[in-house]
Amino acid sequence: MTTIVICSQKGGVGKTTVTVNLGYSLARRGWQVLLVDADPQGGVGLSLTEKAREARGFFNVLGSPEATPEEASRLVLDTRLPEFKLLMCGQAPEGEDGHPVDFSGGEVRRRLEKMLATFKSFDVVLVDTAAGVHGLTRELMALADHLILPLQAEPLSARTLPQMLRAASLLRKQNGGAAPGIAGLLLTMVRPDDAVSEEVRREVRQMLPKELVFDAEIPRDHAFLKASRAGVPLGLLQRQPPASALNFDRLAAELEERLQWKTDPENANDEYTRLMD
Amino acid sequence: MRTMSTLGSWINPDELADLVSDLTRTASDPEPAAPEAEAVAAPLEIDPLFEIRYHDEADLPTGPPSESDRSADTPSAMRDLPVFPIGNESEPETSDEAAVSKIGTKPKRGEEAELEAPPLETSAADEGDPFPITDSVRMDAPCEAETECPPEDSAAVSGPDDLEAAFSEPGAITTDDYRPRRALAAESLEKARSRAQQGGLLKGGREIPSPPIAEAPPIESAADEEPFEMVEFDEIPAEAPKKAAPEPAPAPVPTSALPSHQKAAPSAGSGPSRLFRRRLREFADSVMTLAGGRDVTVTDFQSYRLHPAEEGSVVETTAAWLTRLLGALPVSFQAAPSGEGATQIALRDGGWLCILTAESASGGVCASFQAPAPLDAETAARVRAELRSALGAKVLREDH
Repeated sequence: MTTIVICSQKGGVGKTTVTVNLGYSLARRGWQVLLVDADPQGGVGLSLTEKAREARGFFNVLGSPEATPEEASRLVLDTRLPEFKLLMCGQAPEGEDGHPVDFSGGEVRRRLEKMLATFKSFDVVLVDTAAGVHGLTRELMALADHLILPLQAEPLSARTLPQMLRAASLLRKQNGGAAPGIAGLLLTMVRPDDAVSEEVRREVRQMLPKELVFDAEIPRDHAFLKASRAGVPLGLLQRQPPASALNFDRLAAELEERLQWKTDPENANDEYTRLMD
Repeated sequence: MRTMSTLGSWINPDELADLVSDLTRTASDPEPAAPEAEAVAAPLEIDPLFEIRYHDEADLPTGPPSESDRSADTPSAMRDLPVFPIGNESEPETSDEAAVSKIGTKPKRGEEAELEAPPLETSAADEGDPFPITDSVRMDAPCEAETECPPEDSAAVSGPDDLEAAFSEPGAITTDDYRPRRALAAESLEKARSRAQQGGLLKGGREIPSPPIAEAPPIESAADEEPFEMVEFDEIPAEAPKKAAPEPAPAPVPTSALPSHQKAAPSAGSGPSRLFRRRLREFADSVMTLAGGRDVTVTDFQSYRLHPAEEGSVVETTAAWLTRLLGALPVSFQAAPSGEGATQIALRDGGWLCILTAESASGGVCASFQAPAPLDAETAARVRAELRSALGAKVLREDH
């Protein structure tokens, strides 16, 4: 099982969109994918089903002292794609002031660790997080094997890059230098027709080594709005998915290569289904 | 009037370079060059350096060294460091027990890191490392023969004179403050990237560094790479120069349990060669012995030529290779039974073309040679066993 946390310092850079669509692409490529919505906003669920608000999920387990972390596995929901499953965010507990409780600290990390351990039957656990690198997001980052850092191709987002990298670096040092690894920065909302966006894109690629930035990029595309309205991943938006959907397939393939995921040798034989007999 | 920049003037390039360096380093990799204040502990971790500098009485001058002598022998960055009396364990006022215990005791984590991703010869000059690899290499694993060390590497570690030259190179320290920040950022990042790649830390790095001299197997040409080498992490390299052959050959010991000088100059084992290329040569010899075979060729399943090594090998399909091979030979396509996994085709000149395959966990190979007579099943099995042995890795299928 590989735990990948999608996180960013700035909000609104496309974390949830990346999580949903990357998860879908990975599942279509044959990986057993669990998508965990650890953002109290519940963007993942709201992207996919109207029933998300009622569904129990991540925060019901994390926020309930009575619930054992293992109960999270019973809240995992199936989708029509057998390889793709969801753990909704559930209902985040509120404090006395009416705001969601802030989860952080050693006890939270231990519970998260146990919770993630119950998902070991999955190949990939993708965790969508709230913006920022504090509280629960930081705890999840600390437990991740790898981070995907969406970076909006706009100046303000790009200028938060050092903060994000500093947080990741600090967590690595605290973990003994082993994890979390940086799977890559993902340029999102790229607008090739916009000079500023293009400049950010170019400068990010100039400033960072190739190994830290995915080749794949996610363009700003009206198709995302349509997919969100319909409550589907981009790949299911229409019979012939929009070209933007291919970016996630490319991202998924690149991720496999970067993380050196290998298919089971037992399955890597020469059995093919021929197009014609 | 300022030049508009979306990022370049908003991001500290040095900080970014440090972060990138941190994030592309693995847990077992060494920390980058420590700040000068922290570097005090570093010399204590390198015994050979002190043995060379101060403990070898044969090299000591009879009188007190003059200032010029010290300047000539000591790297410039080291001259400023405080000198602790060696052997006086109570003297160093550092709380770093690991550093203190380095003298004459077991190595610790820092030495493992040194071996797993050792600095290259350029790092001393680039980073002002006061403890150049030259001494460590020279002390731990002197080059036994010229063929063991590529000439360029030998030149790079020829001695402190070269180091002095490297320190005094005009480009070693950048003092140009007038260049644009973006250029500085690019340069810093390029250095960090280069260091990481040279240390083998970056995936997909285009420039694969030469292994450190102390551990480098002798490489005779670019074609001598080892595409099927499978070495356990705790395996001791058996090809490094040996000082005294142990009797009997020691069992493999995890490198983490070895002191650094043993890691750098391991004793040679008595088993089969660790070099894939050499094992293939031995296989070719055994084919001659067992079956009178000649013109032994070994390729992988993509027809990448493994033996004999040749420059400019190209990858092509096995079928294409076989077609070319058969097309170049006068063949009558008369097969002889020789057991599973071997194909033998009669040649018109009376010889036989024998083709054998073997698979291992790290890949498969296909060997072909010409024999004066068809191999019987027993001989074919023995040759195939030799081929498997040459692979030197876990065999997946014994019956193939």
